Amino acid sequence: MRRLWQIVLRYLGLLRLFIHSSLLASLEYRANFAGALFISLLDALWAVGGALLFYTHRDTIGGWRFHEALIVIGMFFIASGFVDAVMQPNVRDVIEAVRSGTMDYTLLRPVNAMFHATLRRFRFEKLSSLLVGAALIGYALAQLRLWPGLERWLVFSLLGLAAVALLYALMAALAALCFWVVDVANVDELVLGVLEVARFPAQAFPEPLRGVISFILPIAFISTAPAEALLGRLTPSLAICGVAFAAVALWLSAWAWRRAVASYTSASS
Amino acid sequence: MRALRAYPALLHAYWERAVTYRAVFVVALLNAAFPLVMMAIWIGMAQEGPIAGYTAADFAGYYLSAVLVRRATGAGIVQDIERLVRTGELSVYLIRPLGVIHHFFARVLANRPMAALLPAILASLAALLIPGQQFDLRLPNLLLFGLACGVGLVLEFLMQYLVAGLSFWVVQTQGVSAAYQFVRAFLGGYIVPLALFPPALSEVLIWLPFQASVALPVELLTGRLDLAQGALRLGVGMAWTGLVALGAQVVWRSGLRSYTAVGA
Repeated sequence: MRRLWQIVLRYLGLLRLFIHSSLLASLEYRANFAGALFISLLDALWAVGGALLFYTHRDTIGGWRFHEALIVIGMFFIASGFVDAVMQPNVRDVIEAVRSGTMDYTLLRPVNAMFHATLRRFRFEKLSSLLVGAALIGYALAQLRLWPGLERWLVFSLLGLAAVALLYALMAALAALCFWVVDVANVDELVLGVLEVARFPAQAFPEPLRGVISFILPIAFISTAPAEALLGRLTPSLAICGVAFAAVALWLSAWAWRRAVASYTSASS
Repeated sequence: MRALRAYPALLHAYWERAVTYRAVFVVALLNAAFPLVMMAIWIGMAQEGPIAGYTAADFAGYYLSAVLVRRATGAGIVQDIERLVRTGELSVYLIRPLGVIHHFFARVLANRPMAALLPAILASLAALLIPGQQFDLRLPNLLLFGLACGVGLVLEFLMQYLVAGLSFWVVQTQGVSAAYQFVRAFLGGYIVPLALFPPALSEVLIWLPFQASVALPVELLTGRLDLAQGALRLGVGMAWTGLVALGAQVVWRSGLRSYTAVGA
């Protein structure tokens, strides 16, 4: 138990170092922060504008009112901000490292390869989507005159974390894939494309798509489930389902990384 | 005139390049994700009854055509030109006897078949599989559609050429370019059919340049416009093309004068 605690502390310390060095690098290009915020705001304007157009023709869509759907959109921005800031730069780096053979240097270090390769670099300016998402959720709650109790915020945070874990697992698994198929550049775009579905509540989609995104590809757990938790609509079984999905996905991606590293032959030697 | 004679060779060269790097076009197709998500939601809503004259099948027809037309009339040159100006590589193009604009236009033209091929196959498959879609495939309409695609492509190219020209003064034009892309996609019928905006707004939108590149060809193909309406909006598109061409020329002429070629 003591040993496990030491390992966790060591990895948290490493993570702090990675974050610190990325932050220093991001601060070198301060204008990028303003640029990224501008693009996030434009994107939000687009998403909210699209939703507004839907609601000029119907009062509720799939049982969601406009301001309720705004919470889902806000959650989508938080999720995509995480993907842009954390996952995309690292996946790009992994692909490049495997192709050129510099992955050797990562594998030689006395650190878990998946941890080091996927959490090494952060693009802080892309966190602007997080701000925009939080602002959207705050605005929607104020318009709904809804002040969720503590337990709803807890479930919301738990499911938000599960969503982040799910996305992390997905991107890490894709990065592992490039150990076998080297020329899969831009696989990250594939995830971003699929993630677009999380922009709106899962119930707004017609069957069979709704079933697919709720259970087969668990995209509904990225934005719809946390929003439902905040609105107090989520059943306990679904909440457990979301956490379980995330845990299984994390375990699968760790397994894929072990297999990938084992089959790595290095391009340079 | 001399420029025209260079086109066969230019087109051939850029076509070879497009064929070599064809994987790029498959990935670029993923940009179609957002309109297809919008399509799915409209289809879900339309199951309770048509929305502003659009049934579920109409939405499928509209968005599939929009993805196709968007690829056929898209350009995507801002980033490249911005990079050339920033690094000073533009000088290489400037000393060639042929204007810079011709190199980029030839490249855009040569890329179109490759870019449109995959969506065209997918859209025709879907059109065969999903029943009840309305396409107007009579010859005069198809001719007008082809003409509208041509005008849409030239307008879109000139717009991007104009935006790219700003990089002579602003070092990072990505913000301007992103803003332009957002506005064009949203107000140009790629994300939402213009008829679904509030009526007062859609009346205005058909007079803007953004409608010419996606909304107009798609509405022609899906048979939503009669010849007179189609011709009027094509005229609007042509008028804007002339204006934008003039603006681009002014921007590039004064831009090149102030260009100092980094690294030269």
